[in-house]
Amino acid sequence: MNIWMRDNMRCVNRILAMTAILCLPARGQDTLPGYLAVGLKQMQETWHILDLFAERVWPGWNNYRDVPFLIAYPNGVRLLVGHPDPPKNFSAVTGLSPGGKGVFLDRSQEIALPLKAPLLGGGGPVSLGTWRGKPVRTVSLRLFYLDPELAERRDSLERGSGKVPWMPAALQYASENQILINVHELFHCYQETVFRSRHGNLRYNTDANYAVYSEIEGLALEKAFLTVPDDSLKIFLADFLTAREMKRKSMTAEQQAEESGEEVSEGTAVYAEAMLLSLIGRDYAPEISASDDPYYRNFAGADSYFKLKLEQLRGIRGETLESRGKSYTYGCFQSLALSRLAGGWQKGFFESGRMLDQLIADVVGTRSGSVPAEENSLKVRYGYDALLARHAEVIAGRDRALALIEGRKGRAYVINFKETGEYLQVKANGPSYRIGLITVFPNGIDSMRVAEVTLRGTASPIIQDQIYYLRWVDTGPGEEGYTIQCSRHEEGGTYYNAIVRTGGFTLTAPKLRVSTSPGRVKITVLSKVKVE
Amino acid sequence: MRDQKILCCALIAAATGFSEAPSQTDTVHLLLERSRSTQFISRPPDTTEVWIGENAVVVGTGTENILFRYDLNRLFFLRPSRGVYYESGLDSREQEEQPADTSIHAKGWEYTPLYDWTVEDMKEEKRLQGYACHHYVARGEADYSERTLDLWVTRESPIRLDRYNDRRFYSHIPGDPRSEELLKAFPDLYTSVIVSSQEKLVPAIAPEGTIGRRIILIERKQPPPGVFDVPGTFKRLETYDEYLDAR
Repeated sequence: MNIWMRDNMRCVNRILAMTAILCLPARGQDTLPGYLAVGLKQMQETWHILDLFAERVWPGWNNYRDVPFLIAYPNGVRLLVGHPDPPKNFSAVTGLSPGGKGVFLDRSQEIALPLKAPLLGGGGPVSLGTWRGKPVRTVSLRLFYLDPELAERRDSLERGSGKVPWMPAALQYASENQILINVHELFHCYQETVFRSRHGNLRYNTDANYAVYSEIEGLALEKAFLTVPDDSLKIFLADFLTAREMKRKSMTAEQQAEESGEEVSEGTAVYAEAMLLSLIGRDYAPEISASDDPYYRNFAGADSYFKLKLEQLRGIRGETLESRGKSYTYGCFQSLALSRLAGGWQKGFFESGRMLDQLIADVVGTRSGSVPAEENSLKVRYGYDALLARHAEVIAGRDRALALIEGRKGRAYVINFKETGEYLQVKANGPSYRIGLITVFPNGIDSMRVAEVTLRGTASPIIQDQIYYLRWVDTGPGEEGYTIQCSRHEEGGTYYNAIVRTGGFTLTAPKLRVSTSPGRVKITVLSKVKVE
Repeated sequence: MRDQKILCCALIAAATGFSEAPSQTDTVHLLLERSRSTQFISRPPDTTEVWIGENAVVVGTGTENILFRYDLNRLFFLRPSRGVYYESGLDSREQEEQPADTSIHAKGWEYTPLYDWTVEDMKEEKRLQGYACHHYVARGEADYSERTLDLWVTRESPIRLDRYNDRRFYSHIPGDPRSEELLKAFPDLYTSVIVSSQEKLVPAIAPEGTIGRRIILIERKQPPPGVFDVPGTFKRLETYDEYLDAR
C-alpha cells in the first residue's frame, strides 16, 4: 500500500467510524430530579462567575474548576461532580457533564423525603477518596430546605415588632447565597495550595472584657470602612488595633494566634465573596436563567448582597458570646481596608505566613500616644461603660446557666439525632447560652422538628451538645423515668412509630433505639421519615 | 537484677500458658499492620515495626521511631529522615504536659468519650500467626460516641506482656485499641496479646470509621545492631515542640 492509498484508507476508515458512531442509538441521558439539576446549574454558574472575576478577586486564583463538589441532601442522596475516581456507592450519571465534569450519584442511603428548591447549606473542603496516591480535596456541602414562606413570615413578624432583619427574607432563600458559599469554599481550596495554617481553630469562650473590646474592634472596622479620607481610615484602624490589644488580655498566645489565623483563612474567603460582589454589578452576563433555577435572580442588586457583609459586621460585633464567628467578617473588613491602603497586598500574602492584623499595623504605623492614654480615649469615644453593662449581664446569665446545668445530678437522657444528618434547629424557652460546642437552655426548650421527628420540651433545663445531641438530666428519684408507646418493637431496643415520654421532653420518631444503663438512657433516632 | 527479670518473665510465661522453650535471643520482632477507612477516604495499610528487648523497646512508624530505654529510664523520639531526636524521662512526657485549662474560656470545646465497656465472649477459636486465638467483642458506649472492637487474642505468644501492656508503649502504637478503661473492663487483656482487631468507631460529630489492625509477624530474632540506640550523628533537640516542628 503506497502512501496515497494508505492516507485515503485512513480517511475512509475515519468516515466509516464516524458514520458508525452517528448511526448508533443516542446514548441515554439520565433524568435528574429537579433539586439535583438546580445544584448542577448553581455549580456551573459558580465556575462561570469565577472565570470572569477570580483573577481580579485574588491574583493567581485559578484552580476553582479543578476541585470536585460533594453535595449531601437531606434525603440521603449525595451528588459528586468532577471527581477523578469516585468512591464506592457512587454511580455515573450518563449524558451529563457540566463544565466537562463527570456527575456521580450515591443513592444507597436515600430515604422517601420529598425535596424541592430552594436548598441552601455550607460545609468545607474534605479529602474524599484518592487519586494517584493522594487524597482528593473536595468541597463538601450539606444542603437543607429553606422554606420561603416561613422566611417571609419571620421577616414580617420581626418587622412588625420593630426590628429590622439583618437579611431580608427574599435574599435568604435566593440561590445567589449558595453560589457565594460555593465561591467561599473554593477559595479555601485555593488557600490550601499556597499556605497551611500553623494554628488550629479558635476555641474560646468569651468574657466581658473580650466582648466589650471585640465590639469596639467591630465598630472601628465599620467606621474605617465607611470613612472616605485615607487618613481617617488609619485613625479607625489604630482604634481597632488598640481595642485588639485590650481584648486579648484574657487570651493565651496560642488563642491569639488562632484568632488571627482564622481571620486569614475565613476572613479572606469572605473578602473573596465581597470583592466578587463589588465586581459582579458591572460586567456580568449569567449563563443560567430563572427556568434553570427559579430562585436565581442574576445577582440583580448585587450591592444588596455586598451591604449584607456590612450588616453581618454590625450584627455580630455586639454578640457577647461570639468569638470565632467574628473572624469571618472582621477578617473581611481588615482585607477591604488593606485593599484601600495597600494595593496589591494579596500578592504573596498567604505565602508570607503573616496575619491581617500585622499588615494593618504596618499600614497604620507607630502609635501616637501611650497605651493607657489610647485606652482611655477609646473608652470615651466608643461608650465603653454602656457596652460593658450590656455584655456583663449576658456573661452573668451564661455563668448562671452553666452552674445550673452542672448542678443537676441524676440519670441522663441523651437523644442522638446524628443519623438524621441534620443540624438541630431548637426553639428555646427564653434565652440560650453557648459554651464551647454546648448550648445551654436554662428554661428548657419549647420544641424542635426534623422532618417527621418532633420533640416537645418543658421548662426543665436541657443542653444541646456536639451538634447532634440533646441531653437532659432527670433529677427525680428512681430509674423508670420514661415510658415508650410504639406500633412495634424489636429485640435490641428498636421501636417503630414511637413516642418516648419523660419529665423533660416528649419525643416522637418513626424509628428509634433505646439503650439503658444505670446512669444513662440513650435514645438514637434511626429514621426521620416513616418506615412502616 | 537480671536474674529477677528472668524470674519475672518466667512467672509471666507460666501464668500466661507460654510454653515455648527460650530461644537464643529474648528479643521479639513484631510487624503490625493497620488499615483505616471512613465514609470519605480509605487509606492503604501502613505498617509499624516493633522490637521488644529485655531492657528496651523501639516502635518505628516509618516517619519516627520511639525508643523506650527501661534500663536508663529514658524515652527518645527520633526522626530519622531529619537526623534529630528529643529525649525525656520515661514518665516525664506526661509530667511535662500542661494541666488542662478549666477556665470558662476552655469549657465545652473538648469532648472525650468515657465508654462504658461490655465484653462478650464469642466462644470461638482460631489460629492466627500460629497462635491459638479466642474471639471477643467489646462494646463501648459513651454519651455521644460508640466504639465496637472485634478482637482475636492469644495467651501463648512470646511477647513480653509487661512491655506490651505498658500504657506508654501502646499509646505509641498507631491505632492500638487498648485503653485504660478497656483494660479495666477486660482484665484478661493484661495476660493476652491482641493478634487481630477490627474497630468500628462512631465519633460524636465526624462520620463513622473503621480501623483494622493485626500482627502480621511475630518472631524471636536477633535485632539489627544499634536498633536500641540513638545514632551518634543525630542532633538532640531541646524541646518537644522543636521536635514536632521538625516533621
